[in-house]
Amino acid sequence: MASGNTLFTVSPESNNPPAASFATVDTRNGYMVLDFDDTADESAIFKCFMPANYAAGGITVTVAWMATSATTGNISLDVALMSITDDADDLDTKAFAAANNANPATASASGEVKYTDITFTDGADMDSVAAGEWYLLKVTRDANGTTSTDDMAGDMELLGVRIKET
Amino acid sequence: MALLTDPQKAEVYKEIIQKFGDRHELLSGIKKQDIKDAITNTDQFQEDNKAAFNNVLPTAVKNNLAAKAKAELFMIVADAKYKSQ
Repeated sequence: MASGNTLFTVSPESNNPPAASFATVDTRNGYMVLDFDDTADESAIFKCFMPANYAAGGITVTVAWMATSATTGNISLDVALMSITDDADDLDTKAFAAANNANPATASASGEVKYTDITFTDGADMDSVAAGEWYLLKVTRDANGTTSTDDMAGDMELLGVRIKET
Repeated sequence: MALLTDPQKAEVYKEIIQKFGDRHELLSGIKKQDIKDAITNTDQFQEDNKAAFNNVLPTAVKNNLAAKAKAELFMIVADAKYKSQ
């Protein structure tokens, strides 16, 4: 695949919530979203598949999100990957690779969708996810601002995620 | 009554954000810390003015209604005043 081509997309309906501290299901004008708290860190996990024709380069994860109420402030957004390599990775013990972070400002109006890019270089940064493999993608709102400033009041609403070749 | 503790203020913050979120209250130009400061200031204002409020109540109410009931009276009147907005 060439640069910019879409590798996978996920929507709130395909969330595999972690056992604790999970984003919660909500709707925005009837459209399903996942709500991420503004005080405690919360996550959503998605099962994804890397197409066989992936060219083994870096990827860009684009998170589409809205603010429930705010038109001011920034969120601290973490994305992490975990490869599931054939006959190698044990889901009982495998952990996510270190997350990459973005610190986007909210859209200028509540209800407007913000597209936030987080890039990964090929290799360890993306847990060496290879063509033809399943992998897990975890989106976390770092609400307590461990990695970068999170001062946006109210929930972040996730609408979807796109993964493309950088 | 004493001022709210930090855990109590955290619970108030969660409740406010939940209510604002449910109706998509517009938080334009307002960040997390602004709301937390507003809670602290409101708490202090109520503490500083509790005697003044008590003094505007009719003597029978002032002398006989429990403090919690007076607080409920205050909240219900305030809620009614802004309910239609």
